[in-house]
Amino acid sequence: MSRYASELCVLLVDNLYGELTSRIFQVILREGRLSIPALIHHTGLTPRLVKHGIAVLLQQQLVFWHTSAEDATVYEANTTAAYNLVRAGKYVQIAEEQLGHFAGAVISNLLLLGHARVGDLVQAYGTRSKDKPPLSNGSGSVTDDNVESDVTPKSVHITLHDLLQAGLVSLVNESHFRSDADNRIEAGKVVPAAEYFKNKTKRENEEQREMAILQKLEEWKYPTAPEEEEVEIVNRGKKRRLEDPKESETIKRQRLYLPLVDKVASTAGTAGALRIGHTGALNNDHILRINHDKFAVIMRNRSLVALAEQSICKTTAKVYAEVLRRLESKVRNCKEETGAPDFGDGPELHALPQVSTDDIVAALRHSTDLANAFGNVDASRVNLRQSDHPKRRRRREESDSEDEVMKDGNASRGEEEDEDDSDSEALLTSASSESEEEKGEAEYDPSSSTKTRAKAPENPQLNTIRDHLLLLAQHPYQFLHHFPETPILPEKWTVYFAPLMAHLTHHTLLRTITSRYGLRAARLTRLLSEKGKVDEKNLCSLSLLNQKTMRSYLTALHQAGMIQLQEVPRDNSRNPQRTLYLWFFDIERCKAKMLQETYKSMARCLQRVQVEGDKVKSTVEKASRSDVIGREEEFLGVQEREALRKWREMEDKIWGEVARLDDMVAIMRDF
Amino acid sequence: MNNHLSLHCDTGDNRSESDSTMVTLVKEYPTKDDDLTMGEPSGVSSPQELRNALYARCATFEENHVFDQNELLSFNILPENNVEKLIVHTNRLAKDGLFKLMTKDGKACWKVVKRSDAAKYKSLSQDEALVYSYIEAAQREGIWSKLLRNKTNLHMTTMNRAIKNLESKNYIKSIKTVKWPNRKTYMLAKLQPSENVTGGPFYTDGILDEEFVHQMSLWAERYIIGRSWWHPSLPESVKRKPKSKLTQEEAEELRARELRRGQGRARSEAMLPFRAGYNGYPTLAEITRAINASELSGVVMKESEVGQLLDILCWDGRLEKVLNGKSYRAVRLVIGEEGILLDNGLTESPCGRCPVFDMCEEDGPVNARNCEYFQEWLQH
Repeated sequence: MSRYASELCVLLVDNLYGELTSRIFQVILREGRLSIPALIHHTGLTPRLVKHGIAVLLQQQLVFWHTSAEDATVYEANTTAAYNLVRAGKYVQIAEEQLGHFAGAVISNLLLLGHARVGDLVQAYGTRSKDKPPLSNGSGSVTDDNVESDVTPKSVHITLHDLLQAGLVSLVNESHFRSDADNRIEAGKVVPAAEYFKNKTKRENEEQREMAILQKLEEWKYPTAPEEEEVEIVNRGKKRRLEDPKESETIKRQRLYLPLVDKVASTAGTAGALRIGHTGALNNDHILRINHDKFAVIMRNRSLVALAEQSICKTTAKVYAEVLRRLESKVRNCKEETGAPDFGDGPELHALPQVSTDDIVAALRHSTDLANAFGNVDASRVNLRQSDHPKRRRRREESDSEDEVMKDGNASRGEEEDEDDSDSEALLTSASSESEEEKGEAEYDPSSSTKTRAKAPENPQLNTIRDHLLLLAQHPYQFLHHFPETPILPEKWTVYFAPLMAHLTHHTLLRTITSRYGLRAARLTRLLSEKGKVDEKNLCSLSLLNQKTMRSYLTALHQAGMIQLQEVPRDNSRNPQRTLYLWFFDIERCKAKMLQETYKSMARCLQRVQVEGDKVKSTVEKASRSDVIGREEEFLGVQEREALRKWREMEDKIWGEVARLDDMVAIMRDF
Repeated sequence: MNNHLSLHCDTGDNRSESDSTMVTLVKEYPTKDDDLTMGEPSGVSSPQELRNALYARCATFEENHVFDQNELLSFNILPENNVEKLIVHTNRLAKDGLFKLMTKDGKACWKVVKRSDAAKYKSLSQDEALVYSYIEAAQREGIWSKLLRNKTNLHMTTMNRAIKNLESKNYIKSIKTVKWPNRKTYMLAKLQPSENVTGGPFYTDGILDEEFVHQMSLWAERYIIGRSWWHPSLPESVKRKPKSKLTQEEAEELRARELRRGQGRARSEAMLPFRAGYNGYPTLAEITRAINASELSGVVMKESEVGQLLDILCWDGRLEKVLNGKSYRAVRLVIGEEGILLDNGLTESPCGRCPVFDMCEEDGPVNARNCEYFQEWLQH
């Protein structure tokens, strides 16, 4: 973790949980894994204070802990969680957008609590004023009062259930409190030794064990089923003694839990629905937390939609947003292409989650402005539209034949896919998709466009939406991947994120460079990224810039660490005159550099908030006194109110800026 | 020497290359040789007459034609048509500077030298002639003085003197190459430097004409914007009658309108994409045609040069290649210069543009507490 990133994390913790917590967090971050006595030593605080601080940090999952065989518990900073504190506002907003105002309130509550039992959450809403949830560290109100009025325990349960289904919250697993390395070691303990696997060679055994470990880690990361018996047997004894009672209960309770999330929930949602139906509530003992991964997926979709809007148009972006929304439930993490094992040369595109045209059409049935988003309303363009048809048809025929070749190879997999997808289709488009499939098999025609046209009267929007989708697929960024219609499968679309993300990152970096160093600098950077390593002479003639002008841009970029210079001596003397100087653009280095700068900017913003806050400290303190709140007019003078207003405005502005910087971090780091 | 010369015995068509250079070429037509009109020899002739006849016969061919011995023998000019005699005659001609001896596939062959050129050689000293021959061989590419010295194997001072003399006689000239502006390069005074040397239409006197590049790229961009996106028709109101006296603003508006009337369009928020599969995005050939038809450039631009122009527009992030890289489309929103300014979180924050950002540390000379840029930004 870099210096600026850790600086930023400490500031964030300080901002939300106060000085004690941030001081302890800082020490853990700086020194690495520490036990309580070591912490006391490094912080110079009393044991009682340190334990208090650690409790808060644990509650918020800001530190990992691990108990070694010698019964010594060590703590380690969870920097991801600390950084994610900055996204709290976005999380609430996303939850509100997706599942309504109340869901946002629940998310903000859960953010405050770190992780919480379902029962406690429900209780907090039910009888909030009388007893606050025991886990709260007393930092303010639980929700807005206006939301409170019509909240019943049942509605809380339903909202929580919705959130679970959407994947915005997930169950807490013990592994979430351990660092990756510890998780790996623990998984190694659970999985039997290599000799257990009865393969021919030792290497095969090792490989199989490795697979088993990875699978275990996966299970822990996305807890779904009541399992991990073995883990508990291994750990239970120690855990009970060392962890506060709540923690050990977590483990026990998880065994009682019925699967609700992700896989099961996303395919049909029947299991979850049944559960709600029977008991009318989630099990009060389940412990929930925010699922950061899912929020990152949603944030990524948003920036992709923004990119589509910038590069194509608003309406197309709307269609794209719909496609991404359809796929959202099938993508649980930004970093891996779900369900598509990577065999070295990129994942199998057919295995990526797909969405059919009919789904999109059904979802956008009521949108009216789709057709008007195209240029060819102008009558003079009609001939152009006609001219594209033969071409498109030819293209599709080609890919059709490719498909057929592929299908011969792995017919069974294709059928499975078909089943999977028809499940979700059945929910969305009911009988229409099935009838279409039948029709497809009965009267298959290689030029599927004729069929599409024949169908057009049934659904006039189909062609328009297909046009939008094709436009996205044909864009140089390849927003979508198109699977043309085949005799068995309807037309489908998928998003292959990895290359798309590369484009998004490139786009973002170049935009920063353009804005900072000018258009010419961006020209040189793009040139370098396309051509690789180029010497000054060629760069000069390719970029059509004067050597002098070009050098000034190159120097600026080089100084800022955006591009690099390589020296290749032509002989052993290393004489500068006999040395080639090659410029190149390394996107990874540039990204890393810019990420650090972004962290630093964020840290400076937060520091400035503190500085500005200190200036009006007394007024702020007065305004936040319990007897003053609500009666500001009465207690505060005109000047004080003005200072307060200004300070709030300023704070809003800086935090807004921090949120925008976070968008950059998300693009460069998380997506 | 012969080997070297043979490399240059077949030159390309000079004239077509020079057509597109920006500087108008002083075209060089071969001056008719005095002896060209000499009649066919009759009866027994002196060796001198025979040689003249042979020369005259060869001079009727095109300028750079290379003759081998069979070809010369087939003219039937020499009385005893045998190789020995022929070699005697050609050697003599070569000595007079009228024939140039070369080798091709190990066999001797000859090229005709104009009498005026031969006269030049005659007036030169041996060193000068040597230097001149290499410079002549370098043709429109020119030859670097250092390379010239290596090839002639002359002493520095001798060569410099020879060059100086040649220059004063106006036989050769010094030129500037785009690739190596610091190298002294020489070529024949009567020739125009080739495009490799001048750098093509974007260069004037070996210096890049940035304004020309800029204006051409702007025009090309507008042309492509107009064709790769759908634009709402221009509002009717602009078709007012121009007043006699215009204010500054009105004049500028009028100018902008005049510009808009061309084939191109500026970017706007209102422009819409064409349907998928639209294949009307302009290709390189179309754009080249349009640029040449516009007559913005004094010379006809080649596709490769227009391609260079479009490449830099792509690198500027203003165009993108579509339809397998064959056609061009304008990027919808661009940043900078006349585009729409798009900032992101980093560049709009005070730190993102801070000149002393690297020095900014907690408790350092520059820090968040005393930052002036922040103050400015907060009050902005």
